[in-house]
Amino acid sequence: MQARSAGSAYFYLLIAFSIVVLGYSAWMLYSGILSMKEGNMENFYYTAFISLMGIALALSSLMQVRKRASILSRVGAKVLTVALCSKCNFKAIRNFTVGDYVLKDAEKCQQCGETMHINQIYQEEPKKKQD
Amino acid sequence: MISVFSAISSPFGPSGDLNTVVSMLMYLSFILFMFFGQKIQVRLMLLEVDGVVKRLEFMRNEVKLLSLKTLKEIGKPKEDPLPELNVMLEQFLISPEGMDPAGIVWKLDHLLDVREMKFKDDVKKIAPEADASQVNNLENLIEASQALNTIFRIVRHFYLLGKKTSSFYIIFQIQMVLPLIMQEADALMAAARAFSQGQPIGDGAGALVAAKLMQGKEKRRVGRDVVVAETMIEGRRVISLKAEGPGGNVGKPGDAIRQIIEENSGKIAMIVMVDAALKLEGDKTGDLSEGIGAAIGGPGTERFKIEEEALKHKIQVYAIILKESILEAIAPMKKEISEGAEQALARIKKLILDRTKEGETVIVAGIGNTIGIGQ
Repeated sequence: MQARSAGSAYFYLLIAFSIVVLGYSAWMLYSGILSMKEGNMENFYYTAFISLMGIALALSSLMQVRKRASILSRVGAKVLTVALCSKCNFKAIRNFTVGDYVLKDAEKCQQCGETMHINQIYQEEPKKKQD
Repeated sequence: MISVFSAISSPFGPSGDLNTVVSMLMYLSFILFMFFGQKIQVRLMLLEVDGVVKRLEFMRNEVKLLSLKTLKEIGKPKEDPLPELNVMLEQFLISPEGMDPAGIVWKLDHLLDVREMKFKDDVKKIAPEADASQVNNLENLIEASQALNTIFRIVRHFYLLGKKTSSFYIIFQIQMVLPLIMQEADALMAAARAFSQGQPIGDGAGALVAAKLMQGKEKRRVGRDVVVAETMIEGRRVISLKAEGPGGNVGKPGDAIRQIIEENSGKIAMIVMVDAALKLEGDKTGDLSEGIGAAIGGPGTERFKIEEEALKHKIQVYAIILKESILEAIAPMKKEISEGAEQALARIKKLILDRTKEGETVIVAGIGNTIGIGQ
């Protein structure tokens, strides 16, 4: 499990570092704008160039982390088992447990007491954000 | 901090002409790129490949740890299975020589049989307490681990070779295919989790369709690892087959179809093959497509056998495929694919009614890995 902890430590370190770079670059840009107001154009161009580069790099790094996190969330998504009663069509949905398989006899039906069977096992899609 | 930057720019004078600085920088970068452009590009590409090698190494170790943990939990070995597992991860298969292609299919088929038998025996040795179904799941899990190990070693090989030779073309050819390699590695990572828990995967869509046709009917084994059941659809005798589940298994459907055709003296009106197939970007997961021919992947030996028998007895071969991506094919089955299997059943019935007469016999073959799917 050492590899896993090292991997997640690297993952969080990367996020923290990117946020620090983003914050510092934003502060630098603000300072540049202040110096522009004071008439120091040379300083403004210099700081604007450096800070915009810093912002772009930090944002690109955060985007990469986001992409990676979405893949990892897909890997760890929840798997559901659907048990169906062939007599009264009652459906029971629960989390997958090791040993479940499609067409295996499942628990008794809550409505008619008939033995249900596992009809579906599928991976639940992560909920999409509503706009 | 601003004062530090001002100090850095002091060689050009604190109040120096900015245009001079910019044009000097431009000339400098032009000269730099003219002489060292390719070297800079090689360095940047090496940096990218280096990141991927580290990620692949992490993924390889994760899946190896998962395999080891599952082996210990299920198999309860008396000795540490790590040395044996390491040997299995490096196992390889040498394809038969193709200079004289006559009979190459049977040579490859034999080698694949030997490979599978050896792999299964090795798994049984390091997981003595596992039952037949669990042995199949463990075999699939170790195969996923083996595939990730191979991908990691190949990418590392090109990375180190590129670093050693500083050759633009060696690094370029691996850098070009990195997105596709990572897609496959991510898919294998998801697959390993499904295999360790015995969850159905997207590739099992064909097997799921056949399992639903077989539900409640008497089953018998045909050939190696294939089960068959008979049902009637509006006066047509339908023989459905799939790999024996719920352990991870693809069986040998080619041999099973040949045996069924022989048992029926070649009097088969139609073969319908149902399988999961790779979709193109933009296609909807779980959508169905209908075609002609033997829908079965793998090294090609099973497809060859089915095509040979179909030609010999002049049997029509139809294919129904469920579309999915490479990640969806080996990751736990998605709801759309599971629902697509229900629609495939309706499509098969329609095809049978349209293309056959009452009293005729039809074979429906559900192709794919039957992990997590019974019969």
